[in-house]
Amino acid sequence: MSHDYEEMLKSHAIQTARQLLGSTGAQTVRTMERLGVFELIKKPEPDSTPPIEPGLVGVWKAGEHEGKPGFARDPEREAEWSMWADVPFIPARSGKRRIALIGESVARGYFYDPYFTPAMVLERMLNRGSPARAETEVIDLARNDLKPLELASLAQAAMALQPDALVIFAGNNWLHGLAPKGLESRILASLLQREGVAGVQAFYRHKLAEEVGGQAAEGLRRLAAYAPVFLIIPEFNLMDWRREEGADAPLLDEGQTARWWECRAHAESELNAGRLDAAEGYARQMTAMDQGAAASGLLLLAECKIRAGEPGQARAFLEAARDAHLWDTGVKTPRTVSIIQDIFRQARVAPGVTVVDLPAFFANQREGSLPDRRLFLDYCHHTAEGIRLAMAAVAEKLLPHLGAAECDAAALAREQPEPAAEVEASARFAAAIHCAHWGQSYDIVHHHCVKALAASESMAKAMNAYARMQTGAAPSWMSLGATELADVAPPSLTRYLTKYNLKSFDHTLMEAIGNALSEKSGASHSGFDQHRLDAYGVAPQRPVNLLDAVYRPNWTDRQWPSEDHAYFRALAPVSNFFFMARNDWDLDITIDFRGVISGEEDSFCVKVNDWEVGSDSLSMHWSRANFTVPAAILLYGVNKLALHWPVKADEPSGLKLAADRLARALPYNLYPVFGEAHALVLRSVPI
Amino acid sequence: MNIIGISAHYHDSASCLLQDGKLVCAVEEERFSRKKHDPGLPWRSFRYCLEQAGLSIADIDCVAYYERPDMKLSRHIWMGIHPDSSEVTREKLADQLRKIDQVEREIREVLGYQGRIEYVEHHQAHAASAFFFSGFNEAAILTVDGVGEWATTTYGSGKGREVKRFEEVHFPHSLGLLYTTMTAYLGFRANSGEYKVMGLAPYGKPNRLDQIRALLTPLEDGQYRLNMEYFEFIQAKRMYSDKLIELMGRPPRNPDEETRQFHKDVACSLQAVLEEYLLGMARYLYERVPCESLCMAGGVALNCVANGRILREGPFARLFVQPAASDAGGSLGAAAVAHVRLKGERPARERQTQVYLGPESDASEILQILRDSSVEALDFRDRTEALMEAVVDRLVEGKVIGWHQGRMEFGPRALGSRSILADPRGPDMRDRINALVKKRESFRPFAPSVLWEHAGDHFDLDHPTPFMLETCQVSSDLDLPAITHVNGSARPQTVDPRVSPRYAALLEAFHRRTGCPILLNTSFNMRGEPIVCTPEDAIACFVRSGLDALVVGDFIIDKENTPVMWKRLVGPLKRRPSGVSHQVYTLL
Repeated sequence: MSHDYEEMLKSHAIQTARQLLGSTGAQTVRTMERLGVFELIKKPEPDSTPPIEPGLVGVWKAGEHEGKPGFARDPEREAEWSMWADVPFIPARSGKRRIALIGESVARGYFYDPYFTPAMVLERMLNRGSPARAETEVIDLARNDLKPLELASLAQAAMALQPDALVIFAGNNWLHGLAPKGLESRILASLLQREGVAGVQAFYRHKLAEEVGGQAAEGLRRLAAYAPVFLIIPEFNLMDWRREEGADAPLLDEGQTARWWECRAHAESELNAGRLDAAEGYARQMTAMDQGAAASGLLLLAECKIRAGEPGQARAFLEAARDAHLWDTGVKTPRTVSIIQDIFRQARVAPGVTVVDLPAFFANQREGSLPDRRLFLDYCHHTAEGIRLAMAAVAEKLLPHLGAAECDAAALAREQPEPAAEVEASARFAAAIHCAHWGQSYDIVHHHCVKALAASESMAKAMNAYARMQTGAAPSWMSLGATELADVAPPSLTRYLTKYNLKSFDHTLMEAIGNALSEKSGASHSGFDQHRLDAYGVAPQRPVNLLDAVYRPNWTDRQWPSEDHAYFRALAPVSNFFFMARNDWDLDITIDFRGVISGEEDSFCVKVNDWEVGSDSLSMHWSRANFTVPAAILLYGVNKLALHWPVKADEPSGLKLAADRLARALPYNLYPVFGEAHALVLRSVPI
Repeated sequence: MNIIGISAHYHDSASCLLQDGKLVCAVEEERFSRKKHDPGLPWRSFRYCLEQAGLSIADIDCVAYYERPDMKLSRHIWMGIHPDSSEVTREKLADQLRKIDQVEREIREVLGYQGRIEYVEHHQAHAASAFFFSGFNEAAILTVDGVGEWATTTYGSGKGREVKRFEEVHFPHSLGLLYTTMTAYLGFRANSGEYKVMGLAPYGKPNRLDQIRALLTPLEDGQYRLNMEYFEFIQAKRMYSDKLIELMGRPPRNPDEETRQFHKDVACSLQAVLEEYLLGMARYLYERVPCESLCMAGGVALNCVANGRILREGPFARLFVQPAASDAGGSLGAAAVAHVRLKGERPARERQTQVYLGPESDASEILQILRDSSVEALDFRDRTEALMEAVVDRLVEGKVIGWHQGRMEFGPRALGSRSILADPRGPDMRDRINALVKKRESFRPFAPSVLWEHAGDHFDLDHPTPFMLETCQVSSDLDLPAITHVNGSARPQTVDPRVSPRYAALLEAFHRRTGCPILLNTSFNMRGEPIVCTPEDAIACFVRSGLDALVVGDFIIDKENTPVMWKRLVGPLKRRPSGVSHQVYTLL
C-alpha cells in the first residue's frame, strides 16, 4: 500500500472518528445499532455444545485398568475429578444389568457425596431382591454444575457404557445462559421500554419454552432410540427457600416504587397481626404493580393462604415466587422453573421416555404438604430422606422395566438405611453454611446446625473449628481453624469449607452456630465474638471500612463495590451492616454518599443498634458526613449500622435508561437504586 | 489539588494519586485483582488511592486518563477499513463503536466520579511521566512503545512545566511492534515475552543483521518505516507474515521447542538493530534538542541493555528512564499533565528516587494473621538488627528467601519490597530458584541489588541505577554466577539506605558477614502470577513455591515450620486470565 493511500485512509479515519464523537455521533451509532449493522459485522457466536470425544465418558477414558477393559479416570482431567463420582474405573459391561444416572449436583447427592449418593441408594433399591448378587449396577455419571448442553453430550457419550436404561436427574441449571445474545438485546430493550420488566419476563419464558423445549424433545428422542430414558422432574424447596438478596421489586412505572414498599410494610404488619384479608389486599396491590416479577408479594400471598389452610393455592403462589425473577439473569440459586417442569411432563408422550414427576410424587407421599426442609437441605439439594424418596420414585418405575415385580415406593424408601451419623452431621453443617452464604434466614440456618449436632455430637468440634476459621483474620486455608477442621471433619467438608468458602462476616451463621452449640451443651459460646473482635474490631489505630468485601452478607450481593460500580449501591431502602466494636470507646463514622433522585432535597439517616445517630441531606453529588456514636449506644461485640435511604427511587427515566443500556449490550440494572456510598469508615475514639 | 491518573483498557491498568504535584501513591490493578496484566478499569487501585490518602471522591479535582479516545477510535476505524483488515479488526471496530463513550462512561458510572476529566495523549503521558519525575529542568524526551493512539515513537523536549513534541512516527510503523513481532516469531508471548528475547540475545551472534534490517527502513528526521509485507498485525491475528518466515528461512519456534543457536542469533541480531535505531534516534534528538539530559519512557524504554548503550555511546550525559515506563506509568504522566493544565505549574521538581507507592501492612495486621494461623513464626518486633542477622543466617546457608516489607513497588521491577532474595555467589542458585519458583528459561540470569557505596567495586557503574533500568559489566572480584549474564553483564539495582533503609540494612548485614554487598533479587511471584501484594499473597506464594523462608514484616517463617495442612489447603495457583492476548500485541 502506498504511503499516500495510507495517509488518505488515515485522514478519513480521523475525520470519521471526530464526527462520531461529535454532537450527532452518538445518534449515528444508535442508528447503526438499530439497523443491525454491528451484527452484520460480528460473526455469530458458535454453538457451545461440547463436542463428543470418542472414547470419553465424562472424565473417564476408554482403556484398561489392571488388565481389565473399561473406562479409567483420565489424569489429564484431574482438575475436574472432584465434580464427579469418586470412581477411578468403570469396567466394561459384564453380565449385570446396567443403569446410567446422569444429572447435576442434586443427582450427585451434594453435601452427602461421596458417602451417600442417589446412585448408591438407587442401586440398593434395584437389587433389593438379591442384595448379595447385585444383579444391577448403577453407573454414577452425575456432575456438579452440569449445564444443559453438557448434559446432552454426556448422555450421548454414556451410550458407550451400554446401559439398559438412562436416568436423567437435571433441570436445576437450565436457566444458565439465558442472558441476551446479539439481536436479543435490542428486542429486550424495546420490550422493556414498552412493557416494563414484565415484558422481559415474558420474553425469557418464551425463550426457555422454545429453546429448551425444542432441544429437550430432540435430545430425548435421540437417546430413547438407544435405551429407555427415565426423566426425573426436580422439585424445589418451596416452603423454606427465600430470595437470596435484599433487592426486590424491579424498576416500576413512575410513582409506584414508594407505593410498592409501603404496601409491603403494611402487608407484613397486617400478617403479623393475623389480619389475613388485609395482608392479602396489600400483597395483591404489590403483585398488580410488579406484575408478578417480584417474589415478595407472591410470598406474602402464599403465607396468607398457608395460614388460611389453603395449601393448594399457597403452592401456586410459591411456585410463582420461585419463578418470579426469571428476568434477572444475575447469579441466583439453581432451580427448575415451571416452564421446564412442564416441558418434562410433556415428554411422557415420547416413545421410550418415562417421566418421574417428583413434585407430584412428593405431594402424594406427604399427603399434600408442601416441600420443605424435611426433603431439602437448601433450594434443590435433598436431605437423606429426600434422596431416598426421590430414588424410590425412580425405582418404582424402573423395577418392572428390569423384569422385577412392582414395588411400593414408600416401602422401598423405608427399607433404605440412614447415612452414617457423621455423614448426616457433616451434610447438615455444610448445608447451614451454604444456606447462610446464600442469604437465608436465621431460622433455617439454625435448624441445620441443630440437626448436625443431633446427628453427631462430634460435629461440635467442627463447628468450633469453622467458627475460628471464619472469625479470624487469616485466609481460610491458613487459619488454625482450617487445620483443626481437617482433623475432625470428613475430607469433603474440609474441601468445601476451605476451597469454596465465602470469607465473610457471617453474622447470621455465627449466631446460629453459637446458639446451637449453647443449646446442645447448656454452656454459653461467646468465644466467637472475642476472636472476631480481635481480628475485625474497630480500634483507635485500626479503622474499619464496611465496604470491604469481608462485610458482604452473601454470595449474590450486588450492592458492594465491584467491577460494575466501585462503590456501594443500595438496592433496598435500608442497608444493614454488621461490625465488631467495644463499648468503652466512642465511634466516629465517616460516610461518602450521594442520592439518585435529581431536583429534590431529601435526607438519609444513620442508625446504630436502632438508635438514630444522625442524618444529612442527600443530593446527586458526593458529600462526606461524619457522625459520632457515643459508647453508650455500642455493644461489646456485634453491632449493627443501618443506612435508611429515602424511598423515591422510581426515577421516571429508570426504565428508559436501562433499556438504552440493554440495547447497547452494556451492563444494566433493573432494580431501583436508593442511595450510594463510596466509603463507610468507622474509627474508635477513646473517651 | 488532588489528581488521580488512570491507565486502562489496554494492558497493565493502574491508578496513581498526585497531591499538590506530589506523587503519593500508585499501584497496578493486577496486584489487587491477581490477573496478570489486568486491562480492566482499575477500580480497586482507584479506591486504594482514595483510602491511602484519606480522601473522599468529592475531594478529587480531576481524573486524568492516559489516552485520547477520539484518536484511538480513529486508529480503530483505520484498522477496520484498511484493505488488509480482517474479521477480527472489523469486529473490534464494531465493538468500539458500540462502546464509543466507554472511557468517560466508565469513569462516571463505574468509578462514580463526577468532576473534571482530562484526556492526555498516550505518548504525551509517557513523555510527562519521564520528564516531570526526572528532576531535570530541561531535557530531550524520547518515547518508544508498541503503539498509543497513532504515535509509536515521539521526539520532544521538556523545560520547566512544558513538555513538547516536534516529531512522531505513526502506526503501523513501530519499533515496539517490530520487537514484539520477532518475540512472537521466536516462540515467546507477545506483550510479556519481549524481555526474554533481550535475555537470549547475548547467547547469539549478530549474523542475521541483514534479515532484521530488511524489516524496516530508516528515513530522515527520526522517521522509519516497517516493511509491511513482513507483518500481519494489522489483521490482529498474527504478528508476522509468511514472507517474514521465508525471509528468516526457518519456521517460527514452537513455544515448547528448545531455543537453538538460530533463535539466539536472531535475538542477538534483533537486539543489535534495536540498539542501532535507538542510538540513531538519540543522536537525531540531540541534534534537535542539544542538551545534557535525556528522558525516556514507553515499553521499549524497559530494554535496559539498549538504555545502557544509549548512555554510554549516545550524545547525552544523563539519562532518566521512568521506572514504570510501560503503560502503567502512563497514569503518572496523565496526572502530571493534568496538574500543569489545572495549576499552570510543574508538578514535581525533585527526581523520583523510589517506587514504594503501593499498599503496606503494619506489624499488628501481620501479627493478627499469623496468630490466627497455626504457624510458628519468629517474632522480631523492635529487634531489627536481630532480624537482619537471622535473615543473613539463612542466606549464607544458601536458602532462598521471600521478602515482603513496607510499601509495594509501582512498576514491573521488585526493588526490595516484594522480592525473592538469595546469595548470588552460589554456583547453582540460578537453577535452584528456577526450580523452586520462577520456572523460567535457564538462559536468563537474575538481577543483583548492591549497596550504592560499594557498587563501583563490583560493577562498571559510575552513577546510581536504583530501578534496574540499565545493564553494565560485572567487574567484581567475587564470583557471581547467578547474576552475571553470559556476556559478563548484569542489571543492578543500587540501594541507597536513605531511600530503602531496611533493604539496605539487610545488604549491610550480609556484607559484614560475607564481604559481599550484593544479593540476588527477583520479583516475588510464581510464573504467570502478578507480584505478591498482601502478606496473605506472600504466604500463599511461599507455601506453593517451596521457598526456604519468608520474611514478612518483622516475622520469619521457616519452611520446616509451615503447617503440613497449608500445602494441602492452599491448592495450586489459579491463574486468572486477564483477557490480554499473547498472540498479538494489544492493538485494539
